[in-house]
Amino acid sequence: MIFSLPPLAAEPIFNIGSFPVANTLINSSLTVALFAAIGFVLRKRSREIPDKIQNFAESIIEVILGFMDQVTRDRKKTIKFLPVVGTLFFFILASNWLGIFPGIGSIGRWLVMHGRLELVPLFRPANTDLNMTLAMAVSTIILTHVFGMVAVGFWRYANKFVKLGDIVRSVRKGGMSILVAVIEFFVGIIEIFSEIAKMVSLSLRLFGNIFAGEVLLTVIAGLIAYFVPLPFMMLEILVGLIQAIVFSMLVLVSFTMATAEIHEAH
Amino acid sequence: MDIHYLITLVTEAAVEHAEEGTGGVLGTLGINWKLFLAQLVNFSIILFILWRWVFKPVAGALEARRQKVEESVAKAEKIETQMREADSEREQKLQQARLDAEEIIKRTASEAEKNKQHTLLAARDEAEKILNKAKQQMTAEKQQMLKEVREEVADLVVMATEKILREKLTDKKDREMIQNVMQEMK
Repeated sequence: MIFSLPPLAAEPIFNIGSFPVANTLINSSLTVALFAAIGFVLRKRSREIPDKIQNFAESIIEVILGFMDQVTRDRKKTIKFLPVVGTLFFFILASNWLGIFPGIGSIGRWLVMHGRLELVPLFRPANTDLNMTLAMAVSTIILTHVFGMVAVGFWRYANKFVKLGDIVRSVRKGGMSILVAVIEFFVGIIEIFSEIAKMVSLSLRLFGNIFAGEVLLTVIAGLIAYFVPLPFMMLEILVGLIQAIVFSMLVLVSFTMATAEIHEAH
Repeated sequence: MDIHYLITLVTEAAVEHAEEGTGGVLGTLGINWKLFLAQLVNFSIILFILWRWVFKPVAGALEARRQKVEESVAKAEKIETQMREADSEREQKLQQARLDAEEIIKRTASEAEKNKQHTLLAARDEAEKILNKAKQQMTAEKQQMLKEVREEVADLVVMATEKILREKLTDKKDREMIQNVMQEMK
């Protein structure tokens, strides 16, 4: 093989002070810069009759709004969640697709890794770093709870997880409802764990898919560098899109569920 | 391999530099040319395929959308202009009507005033005339009455005088008196 497989963890390229700048950070910064540029251009040129870039952006936003409406069933909520969900989608999509760009993985810096000299790639798709995906997952799940508290109130929202309020209410009622409330209390504790599981599954899914894609491309390119990787690259384009959709849609679903009115069934 | 040897030399030097901590980032930069070329070729092909079968149809659809937006905006603008024109026309007409109405009212008022003055004047004239006539009549009647009264009085006086005189006067005295009167009258 003409190169080594990417290691699981992102490699630090250089340090700013004591802060290691990893190759995935370089990539994600590039993505951020790209979006900042697009945003700046669009902000300056937006007008009633769209030109080409604005038209493109508008039609994409229209499609996304339509998708989101199907989940939230409420335009107001859609508009409220669009900044977060749309940003996640575009950021993940751009980072994933940037991984197919030539130079990603081949331009690097000669550094000593694991005791021997290696060409450490300067650019590495941002989502092949678990730190990146975990950061996105954790922050969006936290945001979910913030949205939930704002939407239904702190105590009512807290009662979803720590169902002490339900127990007190059931004691007043007496009878079987106490037993039900105790069981519900443990269900609430399970809910807490499921929130943690959500973070883990969100982050690992994205990381696993994109990292596996990167490994796959590397392996195929290592076997036959020309033409054979093409279908796999196509596949990666598709996977990048799908994973971006999956991540943002799951986040949207949890937003919607957190802000839904809680039905007092018991 | 000459080039390989060179690369190794360069990289070794770079790594030494890096390990010393003085060379900076640029010194250790490198490119895996084989991989880079392969990536470049593959990416170009991918780009071509996408361009040919994905971007072009999408661009067509986008252009159609853009035109539709442009058209509808233009149409909306046209409608708005028409509406504004109609509005201004209506406003103008209203203004005109208001002016006309004012004019008519003013004219009517002035005419009415004139009529009133005229009628008033005529009435006053008439009244004066009637008054005058009445006065004249009254004067004439008064004169007439006076005349009649005077005649009546004169008759009465003559009659009374006659009666008185007939009893007291003699023919002689009568004659004397007549003569006196005649003398006075001369």
